[in-house]
Amino acid sequence: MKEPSNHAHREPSPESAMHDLDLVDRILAGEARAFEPLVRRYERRVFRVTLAILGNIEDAEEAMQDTFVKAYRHLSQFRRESRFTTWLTRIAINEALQKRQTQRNFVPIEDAEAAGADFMPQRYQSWRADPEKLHGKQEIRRMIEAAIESLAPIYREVLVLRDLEGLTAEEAADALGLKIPAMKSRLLRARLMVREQLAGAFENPSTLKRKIVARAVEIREAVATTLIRVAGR
Amino acid sequence: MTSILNCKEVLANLSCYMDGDGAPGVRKSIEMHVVRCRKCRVIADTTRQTLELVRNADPFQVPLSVSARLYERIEAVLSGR
Repeated sequence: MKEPSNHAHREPSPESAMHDLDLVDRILAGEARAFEPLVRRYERRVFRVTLAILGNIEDAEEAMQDTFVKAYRHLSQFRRESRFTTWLTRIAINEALQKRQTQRNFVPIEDAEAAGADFMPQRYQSWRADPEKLHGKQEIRRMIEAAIESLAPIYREVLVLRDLEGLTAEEAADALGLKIPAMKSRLLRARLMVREQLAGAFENPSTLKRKIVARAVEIREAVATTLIRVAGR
Repeated sequence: MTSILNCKEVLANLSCYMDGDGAPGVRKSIEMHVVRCRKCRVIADTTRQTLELVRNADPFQVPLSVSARLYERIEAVLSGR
């Protein structure tokens, strides 16, 4: 293989347009080089998944390499009941989870779960209309990465699988060995935690006038809610 | 009849609501609550914004050196080294 690809500017080639399953057929027929386009196509996805689970680049890199090597060597076991990318992602998740078992600094899942169980949003200020214009794309990306990195692995992994890689709730729960309600519960907390992290940068500035108006609106809403409840009795 | 959810119940169901899940009655209840409750409305709006930002940001690029070492390893495997 040649130099690292630049995804945005890579020249189109016949292989890059080929369907995953056609490439799989060619590899199984003995054309090993047909594996290269699959690596280029999915290195980003595999890296994000392993990084989400393991939390550092060194371990994520090792798990990513092992994922592709395993996928290549066990390609005949791919049953085509799912998409190739689903099968590959499952291998990546398993590689990363196995590796995590050996990490000395890994916080036990029960502890991480307990630490996040009581999480409640603290910031109730609305956000500016267009944060991307205010901060620029690079800066937003840096903020998002920092917010996701700050999550405990059990929250980070569900957010990445569901909201970045687009796995279904069933696929994500199954791959992580969770029941769907447990996965959804973690996803809710993950999303709220990231929201909380970003809120400081994106909230509308809180002037005294704004605070007074917000408090007045809260009082009006509380009165309205009480009246509706009383009227319903 | 649609029952009125409290803030805690709305929060517990917010993520599913955003994913298009949940029984129609619960979804309607959340919508009714959010119209009246400023705090929940802000949380719902800003969580939705958060998800859009996360998806649009396309975070966590593969570092070039990491990519290069991956290709080297794959090259070695494909060529039987």
